[in-house]
Amino acid sequence: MTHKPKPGAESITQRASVLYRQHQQRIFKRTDHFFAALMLCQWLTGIAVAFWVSPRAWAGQSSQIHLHVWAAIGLGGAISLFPIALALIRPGETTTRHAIATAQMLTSALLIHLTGGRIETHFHVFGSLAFLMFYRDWKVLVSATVVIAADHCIRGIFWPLSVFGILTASQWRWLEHAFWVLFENAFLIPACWQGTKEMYQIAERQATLEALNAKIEDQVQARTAELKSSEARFRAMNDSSPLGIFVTSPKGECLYSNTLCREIAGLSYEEAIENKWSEAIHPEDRDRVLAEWSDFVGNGSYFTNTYRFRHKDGAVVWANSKAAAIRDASSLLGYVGTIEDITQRKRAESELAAAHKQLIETSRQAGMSEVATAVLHNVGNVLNSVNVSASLVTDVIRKSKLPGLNKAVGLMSEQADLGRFLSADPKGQQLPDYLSRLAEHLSSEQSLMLEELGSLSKNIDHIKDIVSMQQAYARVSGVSESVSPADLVEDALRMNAGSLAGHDLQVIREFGELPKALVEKQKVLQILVNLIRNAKQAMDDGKPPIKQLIVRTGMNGDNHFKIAVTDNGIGIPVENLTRIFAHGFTTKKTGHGFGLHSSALAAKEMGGGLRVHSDGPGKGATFTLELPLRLEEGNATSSHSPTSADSGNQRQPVCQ
Amino acid sequence: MKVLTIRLHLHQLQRLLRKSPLGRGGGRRQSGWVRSRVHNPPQGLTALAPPKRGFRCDFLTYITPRQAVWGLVRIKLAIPGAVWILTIAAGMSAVWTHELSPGPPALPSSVWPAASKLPHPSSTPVLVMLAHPRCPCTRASIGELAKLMASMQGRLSSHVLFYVPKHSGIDWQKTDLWASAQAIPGVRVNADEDGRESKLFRAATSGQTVLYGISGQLLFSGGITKSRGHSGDNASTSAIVSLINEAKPDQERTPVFGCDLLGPALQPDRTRMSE
Repeated sequence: MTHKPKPGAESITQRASVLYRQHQQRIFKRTDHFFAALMLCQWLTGIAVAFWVSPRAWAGQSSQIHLHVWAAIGLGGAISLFPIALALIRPGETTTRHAIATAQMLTSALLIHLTGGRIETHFHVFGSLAFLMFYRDWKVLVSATVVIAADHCIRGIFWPLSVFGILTASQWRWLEHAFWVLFENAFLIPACWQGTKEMYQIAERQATLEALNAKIEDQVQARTAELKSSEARFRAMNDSSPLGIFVTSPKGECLYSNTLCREIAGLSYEEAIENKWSEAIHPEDRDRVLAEWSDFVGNGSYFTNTYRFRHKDGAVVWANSKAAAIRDASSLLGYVGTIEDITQRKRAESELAAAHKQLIETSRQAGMSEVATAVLHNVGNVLNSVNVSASLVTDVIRKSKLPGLNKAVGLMSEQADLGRFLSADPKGQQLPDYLSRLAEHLSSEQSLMLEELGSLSKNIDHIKDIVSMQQAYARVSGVSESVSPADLVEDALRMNAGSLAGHDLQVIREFGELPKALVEKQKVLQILVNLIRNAKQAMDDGKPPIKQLIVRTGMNGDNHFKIAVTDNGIGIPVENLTRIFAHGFTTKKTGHGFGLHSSALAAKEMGGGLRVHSDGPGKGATFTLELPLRLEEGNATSSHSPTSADSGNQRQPVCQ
Repeated sequence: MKVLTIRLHLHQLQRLLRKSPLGRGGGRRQSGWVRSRVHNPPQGLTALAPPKRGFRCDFLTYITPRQAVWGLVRIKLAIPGAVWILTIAAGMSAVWTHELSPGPPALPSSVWPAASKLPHPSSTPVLVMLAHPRCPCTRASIGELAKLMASMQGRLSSHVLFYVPKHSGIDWQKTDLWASAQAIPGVRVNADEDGRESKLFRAATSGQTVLYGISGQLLFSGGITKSRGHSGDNASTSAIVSLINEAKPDQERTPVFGCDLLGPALQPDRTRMSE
C-alpha cells in the first residue's frame, strides 16, 4: 500500500528541511560558543596546573621556570586561541567545529602531559568526546579520533617510549586506549545520528504545525478582513444614518455612539466616552429625562422621550430619543437607542400651531361673515314676503271704504231727526243700503288684511326661526323634527308666495306618498326656499311662455326620499353644472353665490345631498334634494319605513 | 530618444554582467572557493533532492569521497589551519623532545660504597634513590617507587636521599616529595647534605636509582620513569622487579629523567666515575 502525499506535503518537506538546517545551525553555533568558553577555561587551567605541579626546574640550588609552564602558556594558547577565534568569528561553520574537535583532543594531550601522565587526566579525552557530541555531528567525533590516532602515530614514530611505555607485554596498551575511544565512539556516533533524526522529526512536526498555523492564520486573516469590512460597513452605515445611534451597558453607561448622535448632543468623542450625556441635556429637562432613564434601565423594556440638548455655544436642539433592551436567551446585554433631531419639526409645529390659530381666527371671522350672509340672505328672502304683505295691507287700508263710513256717520250726526231722514230723505233712504254694502266691504277688507297679517306673522316667525337656526348653527348642532315633506314644500311655497304671486307662474305639485320623516326642518325649509326662489328667478330670466314650477316629492331608493324642484327657466350650461354649488359662484347680477353653496352643505350635513340636472341653456333645470328617510317611532309601519338600523338613529341629534 | 536611452542602459548592464565574476563566461578565471559559492545552491535546499551518491554526510546530506577531499582542500581556512597544526606540532615536538631527553646517567661503583653512611645491604637488596627535593619530575619517580615497594612487600629495602645544599635552611628539603617518600612503607628518607651520598653513588640526575644486592654488588642503575615526570609502567621498574625475583632483567641500565641533582658546581667527577 503506497501513501499518497497529502496536499502541501512537498512544501512541508521543504520547510522541514529549512527548519532542520536552522536548528542544526543553532546547535552548531551554541556548541561553538560553549567550546570557546571551555577552551579558555582549559587553557587557564593548564597554566594553573603547570604552575602548581611543575613551576620550576632545578639544578642543585638554582632553578628556572619549568618548560611545562611555558608549554601551558604558549602551546596551550596556540591550541586554544585559534578555535576560540573561529568560534567567535565563524560560529556554525564546519571548519570551526572540526578545529574545535582537533584542539580539544590536543588540549587533552597537553593536560595529560602537564599532569605527568596521570591516568585520571586521560578521562579528559573521553569527556571531550562526549562534549563534542553536543554538535550532533558524527564527523566531528571522527576528526577528534583521527587527532588522537595521529598523536599516537607520530609519537610512536618519533618518541615510541612515550606511547608504548615499556617494551614488555603491555606494549600494545595503546590499542587498549584506541579501543576505548572507539568503544565510546560506537555509542556516540549512533547517538548523533539518532539525534539528527529526531531533530528532523521535530522540524517536520514544526513544519506541519507551521503549515497548519499558516492555514489557520490565513483563515483568521480572511475572517478578520471580513469582519473589518463588515465593521467598516457598519460604521459607515452608522455614521451615515439619519438617526443618532447609541449603545449602552446594562447599567446604562454609553459604550458606543455614532457621529450624528454626538453631534445632536453637542459632545466630542472623548466626552461621549466619559459619559457626559447628562450634562448635555438641557437643565430644564435633565431631571425628568434622567429619572425616566433610570426607571427604564431598572425596569423598562422600551424608552421614549422628547427633550432638549443644550450645546456649549448655547444652541438648543430638540431630540426624540427611543431605546430598547438587548437581551439574549438568559440575560440583559445592554440597551440600544436612537436619537432623532426634531428641532426643525418642533419649529414647524410651532409655526403650524400659529398658522392654525390664525386660520381658526380667520375661519371664525369667515364663519361669522357666512352666518351673517346666510342670515341676511334668508331674512332678506322672507322680508320680501313681509314687505309684500305689508304693502298689500297698506294698499287695502289706503283703499279702505272706512272714510265712507265716517261720512255716513257724519251725515247721520247732522240729522236732527234721524228716523225721518232715513225714511224721508232720499239720501237717508239710500244710507242703510250703503252702510250694508260698506259693512260688507269692510268685512272683506278685514278678511284680506287678516289673511295678509297672518302671512306676515308667519314670515316674521320664519325670520325668527332663521335666527334660531343660525343660533343652532352657532351651537353646531340641531334637533330633528318629524314633518311631512309635502308640508315642508307647502311652507316653502308659502314663504315665497309673495314673490311667486302675480308672475303668471303655474305651480304644479306632484307629491308622492311619503310618511313623516325626521329632518331638521329649518335646514330643509331654507333649502327649499332657496330652490324655489332660484327657480322663480330662472324663469324670470328665461321668460318662457308659461312659467311652470314643478315640485315633486317621492322615495329615492328604500332609505331616502327626495324633493325635486323643476323649472322651465334659463337652464344651466354644462360647464357650470360642476361648480354651481361652489361658494361664491353665481350667474345673477345681484347674487352672492352663497345660497346653493350653503344649501348643498346643509344637505350634506343632514346625511343627504343636493343634485342638479339641466339639459342646457334655455331648457330649465331640476334641483333634487335627497335626504335620509328616518321615521319617528310608531310610524315605522309605513310602506316607506326605513330599516331598523335607520330607526335606531331617529332620536339621535344630527351632529354637524 | 527614450528608446535609445533604454537600449544604452541595457547595453551597459550586459557589459557589467559579462564582466561580473558571478557570470559563467566571465572575463577572469574564478577561484575554486568563489565558484563553489556561486554554483552551490543555498544550504538546506540541496537536501530537497539529495544526489544519494557517496556516503550519507548527515540526515539529509550525501557526500562523495571526492567531494570530501576537495572540500578539505578548498576550505577557506586551509592555510591558516595548516599553519595552526604545524605550530602545535612544533610545540608538541619541543615538549616531547624535552620530556624524553634523559639527564646524565650515574656511574655508580659496582659494589656498595664503603664511605656511605647508609647501612650495608644484608638480608635484602637495597634500593637507593637520589633525588632533588624540589624537582617536579621526581614526583613521578617517587610515585613509581611507591608502587614498586608495594609490589615487593618487604623483599626490598629502600632509601631516598634528598639533596640538601650546604648553606640552605633547615627545612629546605621538607617538600611534598619528602612527605610523599616518607609515607611509602619500607622507605627510609634521609637528607643528603651537600650531596655527599650522591657523589658517593655518582648520581647527577634527580631520580637516579641504584639497586645493590645483599652481597653489596650493583644490580641496577637508572631512572624508574619512562620519561621526564611521567609515571606509568616502564622498563626500569620491570627490571628491578625481575632482579628482586632473581630473574634476568631486560635492561640493567636505563636513562634517568629529572632535574640536575647537584648543579653544575657539584657535578661528580665523570672521569673518575668512568674509571
